[in-house]
Amino acid sequence: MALNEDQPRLGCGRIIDDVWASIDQPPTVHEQTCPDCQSARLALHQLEAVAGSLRERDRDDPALQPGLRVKEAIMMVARAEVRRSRRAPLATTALGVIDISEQALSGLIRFAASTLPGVRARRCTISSTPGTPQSAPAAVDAGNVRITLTVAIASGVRIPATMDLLRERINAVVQAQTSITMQQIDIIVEDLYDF
Amino acid sequence: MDSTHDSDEAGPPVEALDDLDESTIVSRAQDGDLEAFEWLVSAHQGGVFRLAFRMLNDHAEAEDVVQETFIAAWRSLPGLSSPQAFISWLYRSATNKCFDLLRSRQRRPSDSTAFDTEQGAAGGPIPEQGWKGGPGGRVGTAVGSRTAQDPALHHEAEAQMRALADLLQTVPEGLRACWLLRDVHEFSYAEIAAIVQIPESTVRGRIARARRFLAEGMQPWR
Amino acid sequence: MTSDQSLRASAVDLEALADTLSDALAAHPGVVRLEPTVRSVIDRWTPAAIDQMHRTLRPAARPPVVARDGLVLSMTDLVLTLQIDLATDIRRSALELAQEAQDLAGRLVQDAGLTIGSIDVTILAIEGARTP
Repeated sequence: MALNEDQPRLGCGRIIDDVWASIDQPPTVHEQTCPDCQSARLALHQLEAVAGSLRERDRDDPALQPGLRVKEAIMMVARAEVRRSRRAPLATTALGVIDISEQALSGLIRFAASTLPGVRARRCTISSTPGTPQSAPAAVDAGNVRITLTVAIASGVRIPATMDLLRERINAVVQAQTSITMQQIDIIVEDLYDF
Repeated sequence: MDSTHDSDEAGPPVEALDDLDESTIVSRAQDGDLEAFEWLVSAHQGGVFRLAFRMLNDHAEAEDVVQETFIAAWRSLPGLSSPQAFISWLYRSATNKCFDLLRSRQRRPSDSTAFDTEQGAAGGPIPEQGWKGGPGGRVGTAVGSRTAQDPALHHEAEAQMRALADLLQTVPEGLRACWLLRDVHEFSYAEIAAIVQIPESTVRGRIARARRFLAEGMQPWR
Repeated sequence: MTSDQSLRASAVDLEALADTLSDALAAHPGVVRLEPTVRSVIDRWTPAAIDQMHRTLRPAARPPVVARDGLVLSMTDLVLTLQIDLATDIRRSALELAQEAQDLAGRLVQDAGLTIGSIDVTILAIEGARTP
């Protein structure tokens, strides 16, 4: 099957896509003499202009935006569902249990990373058992927290030194906020960005 | 207020999401970071809405598509293979919801066309009377020129855009989606192929057919 | 006092206590906010329904439950169980703040003359100050 078999053609045999691709350039020798190409160029040029105007007007048209309540409804569902995440118990006092959600803990780890210039925290996986991230569905064992953090690093940053600093920073922040001492912090550099 | 807490004191710096690359923001939303997710909703709800609106020609239905698409996104984000796949996922999900809605409208068979059916004017041979108007016709178009100063030109530009929007509703939905993704949302052919999950050559064919159909339909405006 | 009356009375007490707890915890330095949860949002609708149920059905079919954003109070046999969901300010230790919230709530529940079953606190977010 020829690649362009399903492409519509003009009377002169040319593919419309090819005419479209060059409508912003001066007509070729063939286009100067072929009536099919001439009228096609004109019609497509017209379409391109109107489509461009429509594109720009739609983009700026306040009426062509979803209402505020749409985002509110989306975020309400998201907020409600995120709260069902796993918890890590931090302390049991005379009054009851104090725990932290997995999302709050990974948010804290991302925050710790953000205090280092040239580091952007991406995904953070928290597990209690080595090598099996999503093994414990109900709770995280606060005495045995292991994390895997993926990061993007600014190009030019010295990676080994930064990784050491990042581990230190995460440990310090998590310890201060929750009293959790991390058992293991694995960091994966998955991307570089221009600083 | 307690002396240990001073609200005027500058807190620790919080990185602004606007300064981050989108892959980082998507990654964080994948981990359930609500702030990152909300940023993604704000950044992309307009685009998804406009696609849905031009597919469905119905404001309320387009809003439903936005809401359903982003709630589904929130649930699917953790399992997304790579953050770079997010935009394709988002538009694929929205496009499919539009097709579902269009099918559920239960129109007359001649009006409803499944994604893979390209019947009707856009699929047929080029009509003999097509591409009329020729080199002798009026070349200038009202749109794209300095219309603000000229009420008559402005009016004509508005009328042309309305005509295109109306004409678009008569384009079979499979072609319409591809055309909108290319000429309005400015995705590449490869990106559109990933969104609608058909080969790139088929995407090219559909867009060319949609352009021909629309260009022919716009002829009275020249 | 019949058991029906005592249950209705305790439900009213819970409403007042919930307001007191909500105000005191939200004003506690370092507490960014009490976090609404599905449970607190849905349970907020139920007191009236429960009240209705007590009037029409058997009393004590369900313990009275009162909820505010980030707070769920439930009473069984005059013993109060409390769940607090917090967002905390990163400038303070989240664990210390949670303990302070627990102690504060404990004092207020005792002041109201109720017996404490348990007061559990969940840290749902730790937030830094927003940069302008």
